[in-house]
Amino acid sequence: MSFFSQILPFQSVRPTTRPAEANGEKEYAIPAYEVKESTEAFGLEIFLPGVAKDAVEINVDQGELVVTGSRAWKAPEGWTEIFRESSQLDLRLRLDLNDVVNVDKINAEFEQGVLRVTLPKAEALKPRRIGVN
Amino acid sequence: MRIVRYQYPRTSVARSAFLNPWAGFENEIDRLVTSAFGSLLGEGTTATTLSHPRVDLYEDKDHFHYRVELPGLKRDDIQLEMGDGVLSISGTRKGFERDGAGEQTTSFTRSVSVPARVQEDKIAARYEDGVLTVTLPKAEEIKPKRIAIQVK
Repeated sequence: MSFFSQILPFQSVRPTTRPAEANGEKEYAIPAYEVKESTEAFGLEIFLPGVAKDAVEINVDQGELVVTGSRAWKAPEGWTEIFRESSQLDLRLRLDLNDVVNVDKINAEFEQGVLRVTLPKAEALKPRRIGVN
Repeated sequence: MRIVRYQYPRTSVARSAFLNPWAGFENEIDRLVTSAFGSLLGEGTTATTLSHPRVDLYEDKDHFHYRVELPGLKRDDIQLEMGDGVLSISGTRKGFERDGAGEQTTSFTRSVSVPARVQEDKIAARYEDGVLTVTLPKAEEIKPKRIAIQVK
């Protein structure tokens, strides 16, 4: 893997932190995710284990992609926790799209705790040919 | 109106890495810090999530219940083995197709020791929403036997 293919996606689509949220009402865990890039789009894989399909929410607001997954599972009555490694927090990932994504054409699918989001690149970012008159 | 030299925005993104000599370095440091301390920051990196899945253990009166976070697998790609009081969970995750690199796969194995004897032939597993739940019925308790000793 070349050096640039490693860093470029993160330069163009990168997570944003909100201090207000850290001190604020609700705390979220940041899910693991992967970004890959092709000439046409960024491909984003977000890992949301324990989140049901209808508990995934995707919003784009002011150039920021916000993915929230709520974990509804609760231990049934009579179950005692012996040890626990997983987090109980709901998951939230914020990514700054930096105007490099065509927001109207974002597409997402969800299967077995993995959300795959296709972020088509903005037209201005694609290579283009300009005709000569 | 001014005529300026057209620059592909795509190129300028790449160039900013050259113009700011620290851009790549900063990214690299971020990545290193996340991979080293990610779990402490509550920010599971992809590597730890997939190669070392998180396991929770619960108990009720008659069972142990393991819950394992395994996002994005197919049921057929999960293997479970039980022996000598150790439960082994292994599997392969097929990821996105990478440019030119074909399909990426990640394998993992995680073994946990089961705290008490269980009925190994009655273990059940269920995979839903990227979480594997393994239910192990506890072994029938061996009741203390009363042995009558004749005093001669």
